[in-house]
Amino acid sequence: MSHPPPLKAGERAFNLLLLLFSAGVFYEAYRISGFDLPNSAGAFPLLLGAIMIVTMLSILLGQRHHPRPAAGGALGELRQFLATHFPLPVVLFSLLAVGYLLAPAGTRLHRCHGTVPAHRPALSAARPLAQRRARHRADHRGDLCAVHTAVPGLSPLNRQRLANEVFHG
Amino acid sequence: MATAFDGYPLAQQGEAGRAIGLSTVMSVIGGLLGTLVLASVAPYLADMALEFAPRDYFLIAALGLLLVGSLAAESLSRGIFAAALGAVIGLVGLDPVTADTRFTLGSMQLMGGIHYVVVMIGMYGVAEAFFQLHQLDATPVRQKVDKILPSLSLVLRFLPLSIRTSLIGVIVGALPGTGGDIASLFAYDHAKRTVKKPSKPFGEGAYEGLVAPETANNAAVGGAYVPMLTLGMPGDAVTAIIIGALTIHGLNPGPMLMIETPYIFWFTVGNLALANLFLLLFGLTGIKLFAKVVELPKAILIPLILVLCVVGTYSLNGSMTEVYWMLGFGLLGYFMKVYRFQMGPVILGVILGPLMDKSYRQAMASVGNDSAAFVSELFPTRCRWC
Repeated sequence: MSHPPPLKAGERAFNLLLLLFSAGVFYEAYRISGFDLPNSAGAFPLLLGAIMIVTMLSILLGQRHHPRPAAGGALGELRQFLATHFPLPVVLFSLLAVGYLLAPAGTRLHRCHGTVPAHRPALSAARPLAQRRARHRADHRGDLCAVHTAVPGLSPLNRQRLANEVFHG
Repeated sequence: MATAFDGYPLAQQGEAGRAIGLSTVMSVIGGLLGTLVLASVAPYLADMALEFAPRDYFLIAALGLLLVGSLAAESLSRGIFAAALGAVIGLVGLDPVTADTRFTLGSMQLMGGIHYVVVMIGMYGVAEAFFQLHQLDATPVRQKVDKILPSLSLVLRFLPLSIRTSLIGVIVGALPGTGGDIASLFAYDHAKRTVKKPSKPFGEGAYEGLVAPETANNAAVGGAYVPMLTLGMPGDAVTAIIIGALTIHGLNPGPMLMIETPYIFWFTVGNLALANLFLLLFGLTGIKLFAKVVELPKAILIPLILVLCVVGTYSLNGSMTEVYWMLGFGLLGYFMKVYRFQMGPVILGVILGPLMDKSYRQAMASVGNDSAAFVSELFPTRCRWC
């Protein structure tokens, strides 16, 4: 008997949120004109809300036997979800971008000895990340050179595959 | 997608150049055949479409949504859910008949509705940029591209197959909601079943596996224009965007377009033919240059895409609210993509939702709000045109 593939981290929670959203759609559609005439403004939205609920329930029922994606229960899954979709650099830069977007043009952040322009924090945060990326690229080039020295004559694609296999498992 | 089944093995065997050249020539043949069918069929279909009742429009739109839902997504439930979600987004705002507010949550900004271009940019552009963040460190593999021009004998050898798969492409493309991806999968399947002696086994670098999806993919473009120009229904996501472009210029795609502004129809046909000729010219000469775009580091490409998405959305109505909506749809699209929901049904739902709502209510009103009569009108026991 084949085992169903494990769900992705947060998949069930996302589907439950969509089910909740579908229920909200159905309720909002009902508020437009209730179960009034079949050609009222809310009739077609009601139908759509019902379709969304039914299909999402069928998706969730289909997933009930799929194993959890990570060990450690809900907390482990949450950790895996955050690590996959919200890595620190992405969160940091998103927050800086949103802050910069919301700050009126020409805003300067106050600090003890004067002020700093609003774009300065973003640039300061970018510097160590750029340095880390440069180190990563240099390492990668080193890996490719090592593979080329050991096995000359490989195509670029195979050289890359071998380097990934040897150095990154 | 179907092209990669045999295109990738060919590239691994060092035949990337010839594969690209052959698929370019076959794409042009498919595209020109699709344009020819559009020019010859669309005027007759437009005449017929003048007799279409609201129930017919409702049925065709429902067929389109069901088709795209079932064929584009991993499971039927996911596809139908995505299409219904798109239709709900399309219905946000004031009802055009009764001026009731629908899904506005009391917000003034939502009363004007959500522009579908905002949804498209968010779900295709921003979501894809977010998705690519996972492969930020991936180093692009440089592929040697040479010997691009295919020989005449090679082209002539695959001509019968390309004509057959072009016809498949046109027919599948003309179904509302389908498009090139689905057409190419049908064509690949056809080639697998009908070609007894392929150049190599399918999946291991057969030229037939390259020719079939490429011709069907481009022929589907002409096919997708047929329902768009004659019925005002997009054949795929691209024609959905073109409907928006025509509307911005005060044109109303549908049967009346052929009567009121026939020059627009012939202008479109001419453009499609010209585009195919330019594809041949630039495809064969510029492929080495285009390959460089793939090698562009993602750390540069992703911010560029995001900036263009913001600029494109803001330029629609000069509204920052729409930019925030676009980013929100980008985030939703990202998670939908991660959890295996397709974007195509959502986009088509946004376009077809209001059309289905309008035709459903007109059809229901025409039978005096009698649900049983509505159902029997939808599925008549004899053909109305016989």
